[in-house]
This record gives sequence, C-alpha cells and structure tokens, in this order.
Amino acid sequence: MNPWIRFFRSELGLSWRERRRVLLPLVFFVVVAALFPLAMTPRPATLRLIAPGVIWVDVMLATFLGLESLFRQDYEEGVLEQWILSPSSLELRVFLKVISFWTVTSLPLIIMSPILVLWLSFPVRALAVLLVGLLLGTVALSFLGALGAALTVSLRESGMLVAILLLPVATPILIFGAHSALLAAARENPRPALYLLATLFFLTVGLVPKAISTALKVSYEA
Amino acid sequence: MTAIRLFFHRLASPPHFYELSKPWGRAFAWIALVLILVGLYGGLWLAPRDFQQGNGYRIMYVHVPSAWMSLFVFMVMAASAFVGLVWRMRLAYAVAAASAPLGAAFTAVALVTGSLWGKPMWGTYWVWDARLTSELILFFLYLGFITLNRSFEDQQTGDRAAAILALVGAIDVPIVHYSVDWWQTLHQGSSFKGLTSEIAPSMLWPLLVMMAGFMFYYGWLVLWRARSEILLREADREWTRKVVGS
Repeated sequence: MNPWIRFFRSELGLSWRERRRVLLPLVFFVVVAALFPLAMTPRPATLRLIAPGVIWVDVMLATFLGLESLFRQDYEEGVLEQWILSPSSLELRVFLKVISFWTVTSLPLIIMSPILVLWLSFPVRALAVLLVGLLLGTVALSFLGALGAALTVSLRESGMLVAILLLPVATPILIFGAHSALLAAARENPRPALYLLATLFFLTVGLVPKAISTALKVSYEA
Repeated sequence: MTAIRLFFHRLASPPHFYELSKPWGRAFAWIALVLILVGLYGGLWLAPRDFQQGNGYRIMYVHVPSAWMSLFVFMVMAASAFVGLVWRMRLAYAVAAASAPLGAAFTAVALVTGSLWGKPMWGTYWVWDARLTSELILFFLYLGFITLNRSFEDQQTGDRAAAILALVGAIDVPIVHYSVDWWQTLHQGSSFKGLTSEIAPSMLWPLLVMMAGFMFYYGWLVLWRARSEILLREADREWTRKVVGS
C-alpha cells in the first residue's frame, strides 16, 4: 500500500479512536444553534433570516475550538519532531492530517446541519446551496484552524487564543458562505457567492499547508 | 552598490541600530511636531468651511491620516515579518513587534474618529459601512498579532509565530476588503459615499501635511519602541550590559 494512504488511514483511525474529540464539536454545534431561538422571539420569519448566519458562525466556532489541540499530542510525544526530520514532505503530511481530521469532525457537522435547518425554519429548497457552501467552507476553515493549532502548539491553554487569531482572518469565508445560503433562500442567484467561496477554498488549501509546516518548525527551532 | 549594502548590513546589527536610532528618532520627532502643527493650523484655521458638512469635515485631518497609517503600519509589519523569517534578522522582529501596538492605536483612532464623524453625518455612531467594517477587522488582526507575540515564554518563538500570522494577515487584508465591499453592495446599507471625491486645494494641502506628519510620528515611535524591543531580545549580550550600564 502507498505509504501516504497508510498514513491517512492511520490518522483517520487515531482521530476516530478519540471519540471525545469527535463528539464534542458536534454537540457544541447542535447546542449553540438551539440557544438562538431561546434567546429571542422565535418567529419563523425572523429565524429564517438569521439561520445562515447562525449556522455559519456556529460551524466556525466549532471548527476552531475543535482543532485547537490538533498537533498537541504529536508535539508532546515527539512524533512531530520525527515528521520534521523525515525527508518526506511535511506539507503533504499536514494536508492529509487536516483532511482526515475534517472527515471525522466536520463532516458529521454537515450531516447534522439539516436538523438545524428545520429548527431555524430555513427553506428546504436552499438546503443544497447551504450544504455545498458548508462543504467548501469547513475544509477551508479546518486548514485555518490547523494553522492556529500549529502556531500555538507549545502553549497549554490556547482555545480562546486560536479563535482570536483566526476569526478575523476567516471573515471572508463567513461572508461568502453565509450569503450564498441567504441568496438561495431569497430565490436569488447564489452562484457568485459560491464561486468566490470556492476561490477562497482553493487559495486556503493551496497556501495554508505551507504556513502550517513553517509554524510547526518554529516550535522546535527556538 | 556596495556602500548601500554595507549600510544595510550595519543597520541590521543591533548595537549599531541602537546607536543610530537615537539621533534619527529625535530628528523624526521634531519633523513630526512641526508638520503636525502646520497641518493642524492649516486644517483647523486656514481651510474654509465645507458647504455641505460645515466644520464637521475637519475631523478628517486626523481620521484620514490614521486610516492610512493603519494600513501602512500593517504593511511595514508584514514586510519586517517576512525579512525576519527569511533572513532571521532579529532587528526585523523587533520592528514588527514595535509596530503592532502603534498600528492598533492608529486603527483605533481611525475607528473612533470615523464614528464621531458618523454621528452628525449619518445620524448614528456606528454603521456597517464597508470601510468601517474593514478597519474593525484590521483592528482584530492587530490584536491577534500582539496577543500571539506575547504568548510565549521564549520571545523568539513568539516573534516567529506572530510573523507567520502577519504574513497570512497581509494576504488576507485585501481579501477582507473585497469581501466586505461585496457584502456591502448586497445590502446597500448607506449610500453615503463619505467625502466628496474632489477636495479643494485649500482643504487638501493641510491633509497631505498631516499625513506626512503622521508618517514621521510613526517613524519616531517605532524607532523608540524598537530600541527597547532590541534590548529585551539582546538582554544577555555584552553590548546591552554596556549600554544599560550595569
């Protein structure tokens, strides 16, 4: 078997084995979404308007908080050091690790989001656009979250810090993602927003692994 | 060519920078003081009232230079972060670390003066106007840089981590600006476009003088702050002990 495929599968298995890390973001995502109707007059018309924003902000927070400790264990156990010393590409390793983590943590959020759509009276006909947007957006957000995790890998408590570092960086993803769903719900053309989101997706996936591997090296060089 | 290279090479050495920065900083401070006083006199006394905005427009003599500096300082910060990462120059990290709080302060001044101007013009302190929103996100980016830079026990780790963030931020700032513009056209919040596009020369020259003054003001402060950042980073060196005198 190709060693990279083997690496990917072992990463997948490792994250799956730590079920807590998989379930926590999912529960967080669902609970936070349920709080919004409770905090206001739950009129369907109002809920429909805020639904994409709530779901997108919620996804962002769940992703960033869930990814905060992505490299922590590898760092503490010295695995990371082996990766850096190894002659094979650190970028590719980082890429596969983030994708495997995304599969285990973010994909369940996307699968769960139709329930939130029902709770928030979001029109079902716009569901497809919301899901495509989330699919593109969560991958991009995962890479940004992994960058935050890499920058703070040697710190003990970093959840809040990662959020502060990355939420401003991630605002364009939020804007295009949430608005593609809003436009679809208003029976307008969501394509421009989706295309722009896809641009950010490719930009993030292409550039951020390099930044992540540089950030990981920093924690060892000092 | 060699003379220029030698100049930069020597400038990059911390003790040499420490020596040079004092007279330079002092000169910058005086130039800034003169320019800002002249600019304020021109802007607040000599420039005529605006036929639409009355005297309210005069806040732009602080607002526009601050907004301009908020972006300029970010560029300086990102450029020095890049130099630091590529050539491992300690001085570059010191400049980046010295710049961040200044940039954040300029951004804050731009935001506050923007909302003060907005109250009489828009009737409210805050509007989700494209430019105000971009400035706000820029402010958050500065806060992230400062927090990350100060989060590590080892200052070098903090410097490098924050430098990576600054580079990512530098790529992100135009994207944020574009996305916020896009979002704004979608919602058509206020169509008020701010200052009229043509500024009369009598109102323009004080603005340009103020902008130059702000540049020198920043130059002075960044040199001043970089001096202490350098001392912090070179605390265990021989020359530092000599300079501090203990």
